[in-house]
Amino acid sequence: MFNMIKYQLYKLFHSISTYITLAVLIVFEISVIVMNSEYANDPEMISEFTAVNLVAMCIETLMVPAIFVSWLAIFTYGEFSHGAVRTIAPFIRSKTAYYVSIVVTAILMITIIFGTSIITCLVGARILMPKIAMGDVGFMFCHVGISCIITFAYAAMVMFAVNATCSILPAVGIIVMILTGAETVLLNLIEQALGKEEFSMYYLSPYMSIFGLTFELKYPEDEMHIVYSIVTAAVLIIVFSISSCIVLNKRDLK
Amino acid sequence: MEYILETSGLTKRYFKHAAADNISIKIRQGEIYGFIGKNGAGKTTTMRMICGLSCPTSGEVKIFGKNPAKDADISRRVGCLIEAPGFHNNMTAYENLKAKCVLAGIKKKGYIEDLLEIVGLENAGKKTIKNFSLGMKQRLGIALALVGDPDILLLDEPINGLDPQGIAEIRALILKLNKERNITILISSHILEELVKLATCYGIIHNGKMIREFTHDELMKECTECITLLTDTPEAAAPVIEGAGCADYKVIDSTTVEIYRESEAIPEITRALVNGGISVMGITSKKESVEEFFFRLTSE
Repeated sequence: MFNMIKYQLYKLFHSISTYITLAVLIVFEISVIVMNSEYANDPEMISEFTAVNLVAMCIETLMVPAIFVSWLAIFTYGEFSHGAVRTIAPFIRSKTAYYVSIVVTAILMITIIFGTSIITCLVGARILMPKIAMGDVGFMFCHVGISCIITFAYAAMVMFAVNATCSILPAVGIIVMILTGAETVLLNLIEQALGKEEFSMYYLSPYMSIFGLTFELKYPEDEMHIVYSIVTAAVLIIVFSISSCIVLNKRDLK
Repeated sequence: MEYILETSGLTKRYFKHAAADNISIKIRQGEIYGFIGKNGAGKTTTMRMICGLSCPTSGEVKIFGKNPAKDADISRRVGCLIEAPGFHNNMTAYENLKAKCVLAGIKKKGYIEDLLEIVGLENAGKKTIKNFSLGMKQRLGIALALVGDPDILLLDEPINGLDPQGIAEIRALILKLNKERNITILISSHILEELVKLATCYGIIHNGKMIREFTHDELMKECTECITLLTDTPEAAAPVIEGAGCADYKVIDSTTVEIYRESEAIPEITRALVNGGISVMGITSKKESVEEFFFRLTSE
């Protein structure tokens, strides 16, 4: 198991896709900072705008989760697409352990991605907007932590999609769903069809935009929405992880 | 323990279609087992089941007498190169080998360099895989299969797509691994003439079924030039044939004797038979190539 995790980590740090992902992320973050640098010169806005708001803005656009999920799809699919898994087959003690090793690597990568996102925003803000305040860092970490959990729910879906189909196409569909908020549209349609409004509290992607620029809870029901989002994400992670393990154990490796 | 690798009743079904049906193979240590069959005969399916890539519908694989599915330490004693070699294309050859060494828990210094040298890629360690030729990829595939010093090597069509020089190099490498490292090899190919230069025993698979297993000597006997003698007294002819210096012969039935010699020996044998008072009703020679032999077996 440890060797399998070490193998995945070796791949993570020696794979060009990891560094391209981080480069794309940094370019995106810097472009967000540059686009918002006008706030630094606006005396009315500067009192309400903090460096921490920049981090929230980057997460709000859902690009950071989409970048992570794209990386994960490539990482998981890479083993199947190039047939590398065939070479290591005699060393796969259990397919569940193989799945766990990818999950551990994904947890490390999500930490790296969100960490890079925070550092780039804070350092970028310090350089390009030296006048703005830092903001509530503690609250930011709490928000980023919850965003990580929600992003991981999407990650679990992507891993299941790749493991079940040995194809990257369903994963691309999930990434498009994240970026376009198609999940919300789909659930809205179901709500309309059923004539009930029961799902909106369980939506995942709108969570990340609840705080918006102010990084504060705007409405009383937001607190409840956060709890529901975390529960939804946790349930999705568990369901899709178990499904992935079942599929991997049942299916032949290609 | 008599056999290093043994399969019994190995079957893989996809819905109603049996890709491999009741395959039983027995391979002794140090042998090179040539797995012969047409495309889609079930060679790769069988090899995939042996190395754990796919689960058999029924039947069992035993390596050193143990089931590798239940004993992970046993499965690690198998190295495999199934279908096209699989790599992480953006990594170098060294990094690909290093990744597998990490997985195998190998930390020995110079291990990767040794592997690259064995397969003749000592100067290509820093090259990324996307810049490799097909022959280099096959060699690296074998190097990856050798990580962990396996006792058994499963090579599925390792010479596919190679030029004649590449084929000769891979052949020399396989023979070297077998002789110097005493690695037992199960190799599949449909290039029969190449397999004949390597293998010590063979198994022919057709439509998912194992139709025959034989040794290299048995194959050579089947495919060497053979003189067919028709006589009404084969028992009486036997000592005369021996007297003519042909020790290798077989009485087929009451009128036919097969003598395993070249056609050039016909005048000498005929003379000996006539001098010995044996009536010769007919004498002809035939030669069956390995390919013809294979076609005959698979068309029966």
